[in-house]
Amino acid sequence: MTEALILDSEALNALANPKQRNALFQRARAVLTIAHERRALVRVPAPVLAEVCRGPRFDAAINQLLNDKGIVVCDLTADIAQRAGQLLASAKLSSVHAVDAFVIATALTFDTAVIATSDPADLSKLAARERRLTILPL
Amino acid sequence: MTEPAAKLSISIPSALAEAIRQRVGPRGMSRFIARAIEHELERELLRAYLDELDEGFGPVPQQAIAELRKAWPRA
Repeated sequence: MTEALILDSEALNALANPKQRNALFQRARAVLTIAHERRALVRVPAPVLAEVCRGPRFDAAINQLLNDKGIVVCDLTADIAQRAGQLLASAKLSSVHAVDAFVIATALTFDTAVIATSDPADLSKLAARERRLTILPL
Repeated sequence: MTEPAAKLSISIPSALAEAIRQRVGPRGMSRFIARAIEHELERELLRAYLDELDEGFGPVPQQAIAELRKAWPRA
C-alpha cells in the first residue's frame, strides 16, 4: 500500500524560502518528518509549479528543493486531467480551481494520500467524497 | 519513452524472492524491485535533507510534530 504526502504551492514555497515564511516552514518541515517516519512518498503535482515558478531569475530555490531531496514532481497525465475535470464538475466549481483539482486528482493516483496545504477550504470541497485523502492544514 | 534498463546481478533471501514472485508474478519482479529501490533512495535523500535543515535551523519544533501527527490518519 503506497501512501503519499502531497505538497501544495504554499508548502513548497515555505520550504524553498524558509527565512520569509518561518512559521509555515517549521510546520512544513514537521510534515516532511512525519512523512519520512511513515515511509510516505513526497510528491508535488506538476501544476503546482505553475503557481510557484516565475521564471529563471526567481526559481533557483524551488529548483534546488526539487533536486535530489526526495521531493518528486508528479507529471500531469491525461488521466489525471480528466479526473480533475470530473472533480470540478462534482464539486460545482469552475476551472478557476483547476490547479486544486489537479492536486486532488494526483493524490488519488496513490492508495492513500495526505495533502499538506495552507488553503484547505477549496481542496476539502474537491476531496469531500474521497475517503482515501486527508487534507492537512499547515 | 522507456528508460534503458541496466541488468544487475543481486542476491536476496530466497524466501523474500518467493514472496515477491507470489505477489507480482515472475514478470513483475524487476518492476517491483526497481520501485522498492527507488522508494528507498528517495527516503535516504529526504533524510539527508531533513538532517541538513536540522543543522541549519535547529530541531523541528516538537509541538508542530505532535499537532500534525494527531491530524495524520492512522495506518
